[in-house]
Amino acid sequence: MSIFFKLRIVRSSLILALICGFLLAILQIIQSARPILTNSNNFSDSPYTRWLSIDMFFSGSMMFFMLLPLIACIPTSMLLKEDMDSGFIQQIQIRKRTDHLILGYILTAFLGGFLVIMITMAFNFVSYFVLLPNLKPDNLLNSNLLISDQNTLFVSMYYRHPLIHAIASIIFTSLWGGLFASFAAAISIWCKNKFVGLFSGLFLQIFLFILNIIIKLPDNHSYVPFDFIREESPSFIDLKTTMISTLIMIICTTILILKGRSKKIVW
Amino acid sequence: MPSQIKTGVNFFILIILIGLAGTNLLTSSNPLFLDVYTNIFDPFLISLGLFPTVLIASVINLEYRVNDVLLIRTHQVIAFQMMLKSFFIIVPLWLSWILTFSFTVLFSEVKTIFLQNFSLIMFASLYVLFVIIFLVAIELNLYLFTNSKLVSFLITIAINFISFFLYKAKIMTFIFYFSTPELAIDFAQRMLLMIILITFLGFNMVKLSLRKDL
Repeated sequence: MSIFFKLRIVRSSLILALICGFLLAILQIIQSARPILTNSNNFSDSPYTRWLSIDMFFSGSMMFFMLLPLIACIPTSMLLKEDMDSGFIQQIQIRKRTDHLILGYILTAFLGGFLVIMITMAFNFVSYFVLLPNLKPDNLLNSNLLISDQNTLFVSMYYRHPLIHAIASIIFTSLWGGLFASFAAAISIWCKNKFVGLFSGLFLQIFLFILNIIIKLPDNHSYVPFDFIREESPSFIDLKTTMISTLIMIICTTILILKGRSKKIVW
Repeated sequence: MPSQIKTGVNFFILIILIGLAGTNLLTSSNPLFLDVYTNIFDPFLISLGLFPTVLIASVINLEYRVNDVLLIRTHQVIAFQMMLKSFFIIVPLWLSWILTFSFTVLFSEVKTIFLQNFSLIMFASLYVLFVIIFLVAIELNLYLFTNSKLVSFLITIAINFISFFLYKAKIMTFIFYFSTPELAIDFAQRMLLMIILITFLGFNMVKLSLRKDL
């Protein structure tokens, strides 16, 4: 089964997604590291205080996190819809169990989004170790970052084990990338147009972003993925809100897939 | 209900929300005209909300009927079909945006300020329409050139974001000229430039469609 999906992946779309991610990651490095490299490292900046996810000041990171759903959806999330349109899925349904097949398609979409986001973010993080010294962030020296428990999760862990905090951030962000990709795959079962499914992740992101301006939670806690998937977010975040929105996303995707399976694929 | 109408409703809801979000921040007790203007024409909201929504809505429906080329015996029909189709997508979305913020402002305390400067706000929102048409024209050109909806959308959204960051760095680009209130004649002058650019892109589209392989 895994061999089939390995053969089924379209290489060109995977490369397109990687190119988009890498361009934004390199843009962020140029913007953020250039002033330090040309002048001097006065405030003992390290990769942990400068990389993509903790950067609130430069446009490269904002662009990356805004377009993250689309970049995650490009590689593998449309395979199910393409096969449903061409009728190829009925050909495979003869040989494999339908439930396993749909689960395989969704898992492929998830893994595609997960890996693309993880590779680009890891590339950005690792390349900072080439440019800047590996110092622990200091509470007073790096106070310009304004890290507090209102805009960062697990602040004490950030100062004690910054590497583990950064790796956890990469994994959480790539998890959301995978979730967006599987959401797009689930939506695409219900739509006639392939591109409605492809852009649904970005559409959801913009929708929540606008809704957060109008309808605010108590204490202005943000429920937009654009905010809380970062290591340090530009608005107030909370662990409870983050967990609940992740759970709601997983439940919505599961319901869409299960209903779509019984109504659109097997009927 | 046809599926195209079902997906179209989502876009209208989002555009109405963007219109509401622009006037949502007007909470100060004694607002000036500049507060009203900068809240409605907030570049952050427009470049991250309005422009991507319209671009997604137009890129989803970028289709043409190949049979019409045989019927009319020219390839130009591809370009005209795509132009008309995106025009009929853009204008209702733009209209719903201006109607939303106009109605919400008319029922609020800043009604008098809004009515005094009505013509200026309408000129600025007309300028926004021209910017949207310009961005969509670039998108259509790129679609005819690369044959890929995704690539055309990505390049157009990159142009939008880059001009937004130039605006943030205090470098004025003509896309975000509406961010500060100017004289109405200045807007008219810029609109004339915009019309020239859009007609150039339109001619380019016709020329590209003549060389297109079907």
